[in-house]
Amino acid sequence: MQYAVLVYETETELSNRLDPEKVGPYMAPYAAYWQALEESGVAAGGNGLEHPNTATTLRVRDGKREVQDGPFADTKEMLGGLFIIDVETEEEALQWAAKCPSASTGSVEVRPIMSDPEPDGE
Amino acid sequence: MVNNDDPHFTIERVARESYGRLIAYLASDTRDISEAEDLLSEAFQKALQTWPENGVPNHPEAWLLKVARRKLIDWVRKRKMQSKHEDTLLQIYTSEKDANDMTVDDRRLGLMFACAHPEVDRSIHTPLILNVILGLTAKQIASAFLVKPETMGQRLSRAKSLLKTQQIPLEIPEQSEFGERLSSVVEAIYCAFGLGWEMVPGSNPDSGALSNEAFWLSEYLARTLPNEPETLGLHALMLYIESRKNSRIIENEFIPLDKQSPDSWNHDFIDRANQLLQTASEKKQIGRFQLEACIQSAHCERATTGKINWPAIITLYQALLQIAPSLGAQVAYASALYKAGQLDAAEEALNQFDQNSISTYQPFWVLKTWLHLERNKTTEAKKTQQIAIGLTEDKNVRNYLLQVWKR
Repeated sequence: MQYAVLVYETETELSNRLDPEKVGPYMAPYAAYWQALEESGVAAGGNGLEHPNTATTLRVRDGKREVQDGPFADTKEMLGGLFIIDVETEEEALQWAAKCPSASTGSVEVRPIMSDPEPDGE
Repeated sequence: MVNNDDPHFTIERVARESYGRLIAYLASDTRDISEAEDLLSEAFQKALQTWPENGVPNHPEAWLLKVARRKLIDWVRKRKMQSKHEDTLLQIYTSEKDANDMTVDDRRLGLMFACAHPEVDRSIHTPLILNVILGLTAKQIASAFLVKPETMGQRLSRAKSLLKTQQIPLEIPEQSEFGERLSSVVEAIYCAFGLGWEMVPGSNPDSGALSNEAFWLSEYLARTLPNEPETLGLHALMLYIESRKNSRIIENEFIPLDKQSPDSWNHDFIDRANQLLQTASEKKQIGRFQLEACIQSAHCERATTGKINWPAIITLYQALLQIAPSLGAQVAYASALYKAGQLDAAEEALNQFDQNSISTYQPFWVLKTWLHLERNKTTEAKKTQQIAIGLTEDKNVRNYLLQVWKR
């Protein structure tokens, strides 16, 4: 079963990306995490996202377009990336999520990926 | 300021200290843990209503028990069909016999044995004990086990249902089964202690902070079954490990065991553990937890001898692997061989595993990295070090590994 492991980071953590001195030590745990996911055969995809300040949010309502600078929500912790993992059980997914570096400093959301509907499904 | 006569304070205190005892007592009568929980919950609510007005009773536990029993009488009478057992119960409860019982019998041990019964799924033994004996919530337990709280709640319900429908006695088992059943209880308590934290760097020692609960349970078990060497062994093991608890992370920095300062260990705990091991050894019945405790004792000996007796530890692991082989023990054994300078033997010990069993076991990859580095296999080491770090849950240990392996 596939799960999305959504990485939520604090502003402090995210700010490391913008600091040439800090970006290396900041990324190192994520690189290691990815290696571990690959080595154990559960890695099924994922990507880091650029800093939330590069995001643009868009809505279309009644033919009217609305474009905003910034991410969907200005919350304490913001989406920084995601991993897709393929595991047998939900527990396994949670165990992997606990090892994600942002689990220690921010939060991690684990959500099952929708599986394809039955061909003749109602 | 806390006032001992404050009803809310007392209720909280009684709840915390007596929950398990009251549940065990009620459950052994109702033979239904879920029902016992509901009865007790109602009794606590009644206490919250009446104690502020009428004052806290002299024997709060006995009061709660009486109310719970009265409630049960109501419920049983309202039930359309009554079992023979319920008839008997009604007779006992409505008689004046127990009216003056001030202390509540301790039936928790029997309840613990039921929680670790062979018909109950092994993976739920520990959560059940934590929930039923200590009153921990499904959410608290779920956190420690890294399980969805909803899922944990369902599993606990199912287990209690099973105990009821299978009519599993909530009692200490017969002599013939006792040894094996006791093993299950001891293992379940140990599991709570080691949750996520396999006494090696890599996992978060604060996983739900259940180590305190496990510690309490092991102390309770050693106290109630003082003639069983494995219960003494278990508690000794926990004392040794707890003695070093504050030395492991200092100012967010992880300090590996062999670099810790023995001055910072709790020597009172170590002394108590030594005594327990001594008493246990007199029974001449070696077991898994006595051996694990001996290994930890050897580590703690550094406080007096100034060094670690690796040959002794290696021998102890060999004995442990004979009676209780496990992934953790095998890797720890390999690690001891490495520390003792026996590289070939260490590598040999690590080759026992197939890819599946070790792929997510952090200590394996940590040791593999050290071994590669000893052999100057830098490319291999770079790979295994990434995996080891990627598998590390504890941020402080992660930082330590990133530091210590920096090129």
